[in-house]
Amino acid sequence: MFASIAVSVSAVLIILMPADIIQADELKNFRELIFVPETLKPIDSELKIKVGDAAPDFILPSIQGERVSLSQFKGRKNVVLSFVPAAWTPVCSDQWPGYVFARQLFEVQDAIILGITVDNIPTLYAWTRQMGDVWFPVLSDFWPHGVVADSYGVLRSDGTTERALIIIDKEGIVRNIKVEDINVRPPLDFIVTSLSQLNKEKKRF
Amino acid sequence: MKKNTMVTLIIFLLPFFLAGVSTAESEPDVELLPTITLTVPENKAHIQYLGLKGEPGTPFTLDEIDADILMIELFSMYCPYCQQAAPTVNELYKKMEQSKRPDLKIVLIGIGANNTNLEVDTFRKGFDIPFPLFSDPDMLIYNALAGAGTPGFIACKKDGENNVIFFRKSGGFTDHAEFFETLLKRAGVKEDDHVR
Repeated sequence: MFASIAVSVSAVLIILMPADIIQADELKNFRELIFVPETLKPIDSELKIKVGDAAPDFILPSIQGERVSLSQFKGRKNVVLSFVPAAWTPVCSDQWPGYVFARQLFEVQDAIILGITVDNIPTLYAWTRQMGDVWFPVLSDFWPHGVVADSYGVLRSDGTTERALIIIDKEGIVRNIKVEDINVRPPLDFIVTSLSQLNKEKKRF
Repeated sequence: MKKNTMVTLIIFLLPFFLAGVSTAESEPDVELLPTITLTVPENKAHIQYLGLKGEPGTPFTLDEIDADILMIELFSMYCPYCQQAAPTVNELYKKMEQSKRPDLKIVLIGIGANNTNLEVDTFRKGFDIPFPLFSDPDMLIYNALAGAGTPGFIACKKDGENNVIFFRKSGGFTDHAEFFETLLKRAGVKEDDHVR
């Protein structure tokens, strides 16, 4: 079951995104572990939130060893929820390394990313080790399976999640949503533009 | 009589046979640089580096770049291996600039495969990349160049009216000087011919 799910998750990626070829031996070994599935149905769920809603709160375990809630950032940080379908698949495996690299773009907008998948903690821990200094919490929505993803309406029928970005302001209000074709990496531009717009609007008040 | 006919036939056909052999030897498989259109960058130093005559924002093709050897790096901001390789590629650029001479101009550009302008700009700023980078959000350039992973390196050189691809490498490198020497060797530039 999980094998076929995983197979489905990243197929087009190898076509859309080059199979990164590597420099260091350990990275080469890592890349060889990535599972290449077939093309998936682009979107397979229905959103349960909309812009202007209060974002559903949650508390999830992180690979950093803490339990992280959405509400702990209320009044402190803008939040970017980044749901990715599955560990060890091609698009997901280079989406977060981009966010790791682009840290300054998030910090300048006073934002934190919460990366979420339905994988368990050991899997997420092993998978993210190749991503360098992962500066944002990586959260596991593994058990009860996909409850948080489902509360946002991004849990797919095969138990994985959509490739979704949800922008939440410091008041805990959903300010923008992008559910991307699961086979494609969303451009960084969506996040930067959304956060920038959000902060501009705040300054007007 | 039959023997004479055969000999005549062989003599008649021999030049065609030899011509065929000679053609096969003199025309090894060459890979031409495909026609690829980019946009003239805003940065004046980059325009000068590329030797372009057009205004910023106007289209140009790769063969308009004023270079004896053009090296193209295929990268992605998202690719950890490209991030890892970036400082070494900067060193390669420096080496190329140090080795400049009037009769040998080597130019390096980067193509951000599946990257938007913002993503390419983030990569450039993050590593303080001095050479020109271009975005390829739909991977049209990457595919036209038959890219095989990132980072990847493709070099071409002028051969008469053509630009011929003579070097391809998938993956990064650790020694920029060694990589540069390999590039020159493959380009047919003798070691004594260039400044070390």
